[in-house]
Amino acid sequence: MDNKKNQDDVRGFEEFIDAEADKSFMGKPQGTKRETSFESFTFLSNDGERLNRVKNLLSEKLPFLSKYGQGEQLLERQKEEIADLREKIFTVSDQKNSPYRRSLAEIFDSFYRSTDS
Amino acid sequence: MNLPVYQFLNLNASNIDDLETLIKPELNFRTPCVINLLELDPDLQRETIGLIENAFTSVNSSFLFPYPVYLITVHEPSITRMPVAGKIEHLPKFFNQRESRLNVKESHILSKNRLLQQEIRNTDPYQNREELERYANYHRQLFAGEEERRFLRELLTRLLNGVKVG
Repeated sequence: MDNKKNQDDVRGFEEFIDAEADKSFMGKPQGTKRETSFESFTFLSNDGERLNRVKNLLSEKLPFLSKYGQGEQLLERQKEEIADLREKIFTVSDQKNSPYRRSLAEIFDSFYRSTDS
Repeated sequence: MNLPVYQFLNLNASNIDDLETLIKPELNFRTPCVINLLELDPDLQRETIGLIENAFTSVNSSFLFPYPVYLITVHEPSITRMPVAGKIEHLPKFFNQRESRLNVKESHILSKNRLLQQEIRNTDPYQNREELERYANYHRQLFAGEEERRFLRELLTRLLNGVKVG
C-alpha cells in the first residue's frame, strides 16, 4: 500500500530522479548503454596497467637509478659542452673581421665618423 | 569488491578534531582519496594540510602510491608535497567512474590489481620519494642546460655562416 502511494507521489518525476541519482561530479560519461557496458572492464584494465607501471618504477627503475644514476655525469658533460661552445663563440667574435666587430663598427661609425672626409 | 574510484572525505569544524582517526595509512590502499578542506578557514586549511602530511610521513606511508590522496584547498600546490586541486572538477577524470556491480571477468582483473596494490605498498615510500625527487631535479637541470646549449649552438652556427658570407 505504502509502496503504491510512494509511486503515485513521484509520478512524472521519474526521469528527473534517475538523472539526479546518476549525477557524478564531472558529468556522465558519453556513449550509449551498449558502449558503457565495457566501461568498468576498460577502467580496471587501464588501472591494472597503471599499477603495473608504478610497481616497475618503484621496484625496478628507482633501485637501479640509485645504484647506477647518470644524472651527475650527464650534467658534467653538458657543462663542458656549454663552456666549449662559449669559448668558440668568443673566439669567433674576437676575430678582426668578425660579424660582431663589423656590427659594432657600423654602429660606432654611424654616430662618430666625421662627415668632413 | 569495489572499483577504485574517488572516496571523499569532507573535513569541517565538527570532525577536524578526529583527524588522527580519519587519516589512516590504508586510506589510499584500495582507492584514491579526496580530502575536501574547503569548508575550513584558510588558516586552518594550511595547518590541517601540514597535519595530514605529517600523519602519512610519521607512519612511513606514501600519499602517492598505490593511489594518490588529493587535497581540495584554496592554497597553492607549493605549500605541500601532496597533490592539490582548487576544485573537485579539477581532479583527474581517470578515477571518476560510475560504481557498478562487477561481472566475473572484472572481478578477476580487480583481484589481480589487488596483488599489484600490495606489491606497491610493500616498497619503501621514503626512499622512493627521495630518489624520485633527485631524478626529477636532474631532469629539470638537464632541460635548462639543454636550452642554453641549443641557443649557443645556434648562435655559433649563425656567426660562422656570417663569417663565411663576409
